[in-house]
Amino acid sequence: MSLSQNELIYLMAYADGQVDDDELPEVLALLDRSEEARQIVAQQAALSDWVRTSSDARAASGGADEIAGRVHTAIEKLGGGQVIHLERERAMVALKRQRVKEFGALFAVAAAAATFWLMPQSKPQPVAVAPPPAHSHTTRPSASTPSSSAVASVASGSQGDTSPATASASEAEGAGVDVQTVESPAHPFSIFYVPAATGLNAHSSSVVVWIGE
Amino acid sequence: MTPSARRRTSFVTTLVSPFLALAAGAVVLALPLAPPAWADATGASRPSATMVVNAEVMVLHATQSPGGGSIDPAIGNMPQLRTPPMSAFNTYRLLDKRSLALTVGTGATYTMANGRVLQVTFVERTPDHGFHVRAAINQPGGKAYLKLLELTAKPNDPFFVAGQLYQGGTLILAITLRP
Repeated sequence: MSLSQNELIYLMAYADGQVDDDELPEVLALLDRSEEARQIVAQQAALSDWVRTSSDARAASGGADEIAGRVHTAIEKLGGGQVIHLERERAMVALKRQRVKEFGALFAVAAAAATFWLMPQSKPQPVAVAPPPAHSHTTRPSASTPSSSAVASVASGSQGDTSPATASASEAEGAGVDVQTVESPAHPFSIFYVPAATGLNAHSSSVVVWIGE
Repeated sequence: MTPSARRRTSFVTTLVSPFLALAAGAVVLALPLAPPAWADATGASRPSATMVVNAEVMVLHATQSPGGGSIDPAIGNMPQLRTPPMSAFNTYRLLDKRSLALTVGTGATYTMANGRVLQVTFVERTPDHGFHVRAAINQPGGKAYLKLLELTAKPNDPFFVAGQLYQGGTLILAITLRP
């Protein structure tokens, strides 16, 4: 045999119709100049035809062509089924996973940003003092003790408090003035929330911080 | 890239891009809604050089006089003086009236007749167009009379700091923030 192993491989591929376009001229040239090459191709083609015919015959006798039909019939008996395109399903699964990852990342970024913007820095905060019942504490001289019927509420801090006091202005929601913190460690104080009035003495709501000497 | 892979990528990009855009937009829109934590522990935003508010300080001398009493016409219309707790006094006299120009993040001081020093600081403008301010009253060589008063006030709504004894009466500071 004068053909090389490489040429034999090309010839068998040609017989099976698997030669690429760029390889075809070389194979055709070989067939042109070699009688041995032509014989090999003819034998290989005949062999391939026999294998194909034989396989088809065995498949037909084994009922292979009816397998799909039988499966479909069985599915129909079970109430039918949905045709799933695997490629599309895989794409959808990949898409869902991608979405979860991307939204997770975005949520993390948003949470970090919100934390950075919204979370106040830690700082020793004054102790909150809930407003006592109205008019429970006055520190002014008796001569100036007010008639407090029109005062909405009073919060107070007592003298000698070591911690500063904070009076919540929750009663004054919507008020023109809203007290957040009063610190007067050395002096007693009271906070009067004065509601808005209408009529002759109309005025907006206000706050009076009264600090004793 | 194979054609099927290219199709998959295109499919994913087409569906995901709007969600990405929406989420990114939400983040971008949400950020300016809240003050940054790094600005100030109380939530104050970064100072704006152009924001100015005038703190009008009226120093009132309140006394209890026999008879009906009177309110100094120079005080102007201040109905709160006729309502508790300030209605405990029937006579009000205007001792002084000052206007302190405050810029965001800065304070101004005013020395009262009794030697104590009032300091008012404009912290920030509130979202409802009010003013967040801090006030303190210090006295030379002594403990602070008022260490800290922190509040928010709407424009032209006065608040009062009262109680300092002075010449047989009481000093009342009426502070009004005006844009």
